[in-house]
Amino acid sequence: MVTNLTEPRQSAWHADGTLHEPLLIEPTGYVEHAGRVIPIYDSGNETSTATIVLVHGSSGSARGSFWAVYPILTFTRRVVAFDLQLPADDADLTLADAVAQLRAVVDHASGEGPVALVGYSFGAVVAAAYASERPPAVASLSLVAGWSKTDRYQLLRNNLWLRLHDADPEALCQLTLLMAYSAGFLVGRNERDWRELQQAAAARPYPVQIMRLNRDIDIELGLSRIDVPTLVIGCRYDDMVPLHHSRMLFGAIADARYLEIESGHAVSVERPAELAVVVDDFSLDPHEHPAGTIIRNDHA
Amino acid sequence: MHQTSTIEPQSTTTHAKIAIIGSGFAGLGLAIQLRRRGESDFIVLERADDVGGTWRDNTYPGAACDIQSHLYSFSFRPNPDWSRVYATQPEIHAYLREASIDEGVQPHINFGAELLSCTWQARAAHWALETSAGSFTADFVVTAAGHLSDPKLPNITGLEKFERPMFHSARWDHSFKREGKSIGVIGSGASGIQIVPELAKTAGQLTVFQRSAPYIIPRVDHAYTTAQKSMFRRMPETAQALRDELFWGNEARFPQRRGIADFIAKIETTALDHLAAQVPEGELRDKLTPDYMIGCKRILISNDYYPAFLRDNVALETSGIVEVRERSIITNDGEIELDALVLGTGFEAADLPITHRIFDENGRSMAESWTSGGAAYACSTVAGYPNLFIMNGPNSGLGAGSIIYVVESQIQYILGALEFMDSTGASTIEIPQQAQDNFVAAIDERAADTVWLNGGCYSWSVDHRYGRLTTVWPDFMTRFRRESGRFKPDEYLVDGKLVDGPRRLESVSV
Repeated sequence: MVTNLTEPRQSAWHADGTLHEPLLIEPTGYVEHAGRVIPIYDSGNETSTATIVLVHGSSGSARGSFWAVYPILTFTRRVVAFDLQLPADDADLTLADAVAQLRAVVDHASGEGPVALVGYSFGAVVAAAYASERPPAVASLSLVAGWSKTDRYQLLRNNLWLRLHDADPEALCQLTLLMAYSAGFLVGRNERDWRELQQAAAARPYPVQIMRLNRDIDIELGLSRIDVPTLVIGCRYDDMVPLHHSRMLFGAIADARYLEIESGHAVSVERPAELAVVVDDFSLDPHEHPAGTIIRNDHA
Repeated sequence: MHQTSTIEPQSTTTHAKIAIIGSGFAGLGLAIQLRRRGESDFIVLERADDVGGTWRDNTYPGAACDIQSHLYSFSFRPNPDWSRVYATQPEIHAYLREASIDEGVQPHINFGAELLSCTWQARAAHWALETSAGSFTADFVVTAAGHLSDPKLPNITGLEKFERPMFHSARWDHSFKREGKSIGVIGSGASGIQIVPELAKTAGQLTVFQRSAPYIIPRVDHAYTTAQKSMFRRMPETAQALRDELFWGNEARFPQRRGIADFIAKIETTALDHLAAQVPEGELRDKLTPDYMIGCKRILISNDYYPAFLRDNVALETSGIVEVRERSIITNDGEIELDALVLGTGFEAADLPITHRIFDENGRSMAESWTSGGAAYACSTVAGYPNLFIMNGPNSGLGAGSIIYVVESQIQYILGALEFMDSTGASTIEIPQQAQDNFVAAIDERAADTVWLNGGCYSWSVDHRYGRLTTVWPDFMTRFRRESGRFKPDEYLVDGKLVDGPRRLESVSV
């Protein structure tokens, strides 16, 4: 029997035993901001703990960053994700614009109380910049594979990325695979999964507007103003945003604790369960570990 | 199967602080940790004549583990020499036997001691254990009897009439010469699909009686090279990293059990493509295509099960068994004569046999006390049964992952409880019914959203008498450890009283 994946979602399961459709494809609603319509994905389940708001990375979409993590987080709480809207006509995206969109989504999502904000990669930059404004609607902050100031190493890769984007899509795809995943993960895939990774990288190149903005990030000054409990998650084998960035975030944010995951930058693909469990635990009880703690996940 | 055996117990009584029932992964793991902590006042009661539990009993041809060796082994006894990704039964059994010897556990084991009854003596505040090798008393009892220990026989008319060799997969008759014979295999679960390719090689005719087709995915298996094994030995952190990777890889399979569409689609495609790659379109493939949602029954892994059906001497029978006769099986399609019958029909996992032999002070068995199926606080302790811990009991199995992780979590829990009891000098600890009910309600709530209760299959994870998921844990393994891997005295009655105030105990790590 091939499972019916096309019926509209009512609950986790339909009465006839079939499943709801894949998540993060059809928006559940929209938030209007400055004349633009931001698609949101609201799990809508009742929750006694803080709603999680997810800010996606350079892939440009909630599904691109969180297809595996979002459903796991919904097991325990309401989760809201959204697709950042890019300016028309290839105009530059600004960090202020991205922050403004996030603010609009958080304002929408925080009706029941302050939210647990979770940013991944470029989304961590946006989330940290927003949190530095000390918004009352944010209860805690998780920064996954984020950074505060673009450095030479990142620029080298970004230069190459932009050149290949225009000249050689196939090479661009290979660069992305090299940079996004850890060596161990790539080597360990079976042929089938390897094919899927290649196809996914080829099908969805990152939006150029985000990649251009990534060149000029500098939010260092704001970090000291962040006053909510923060979890910084660094990825040990990250070649896109190398580990030293997460360690700097840990140093810069007063109420931060730190955890490393043994993955490449694409932690939401390499270790979705670990990432989700860690973020879920932290969002449930942000003060479980005092500021300055280096959290170590138990070995299996 | 649940009746207490009539063997007369001997008259001498031995007392131990702790009695462990069973010497499989769970019982041995706890015994090893007790030894490492310098505890010597414990006994292990083992009904057989060797350690190893499931891995001692299941010697059928092709027996192997479905979880990767570097994860399916004690974290505190890593083995750099695993021969391959998925170890076979002899290698796992040898690993356990060696562990029991190296760690000095063997002298604590009473072999040939089948537990007949285990009764709480309230006045003496200890357990009285009657076994086939004598009487014992113990302050604490840990049942480590396992989910996969007592063979479950199919409920088929006339089964007892079959007069030719017939045995359960976990009781393989190695004197049986299978070459050239006409053999029937009932069951297409985890054991059946490992047995069939082996029997197919030499059987004259092999007939597989299938009630429900399993989902099967490729077995990504290879031998470890000498270089890899040497690397694991010289750099133990590389073996640890592999173990962690395997663990989190298994954790990432759990969303399948919650019916998350992307996860279901991926694993279902993997399984159905595997079938399509190995079996041509047609009646055979149709028969081998499952009719329920993937994950509702255990997802199996094999590269040689499907191809076995392409052989001339192998047939798949799905019309349904009507009855068994002296030398044949009658199906809805006709009669099949057999020289031998193998029952690959699994184990008593829901109505655990051991719980029919544990009695409270009024003589009520634990099984009777469970009026709506297996239930335990922290998956370990049961109201009315003080000073007793169950390993691999209610909601402690897994649909995606290594049971050794659960076992080690439970070891940690029990050690924490024993340490707490030592530190307080108290003599009894018992969970109140209400605390147990609350804990179980939180499990039931999660279970309601799982494929085991929604996937349209008849799964052994469910206690079908009550429609409750009682066998497996309906959440991530990490959640099991968080909720049931660290002893907290807060909700217990200790010497009949709730512990005063919030009491924090340092976790004990294994």
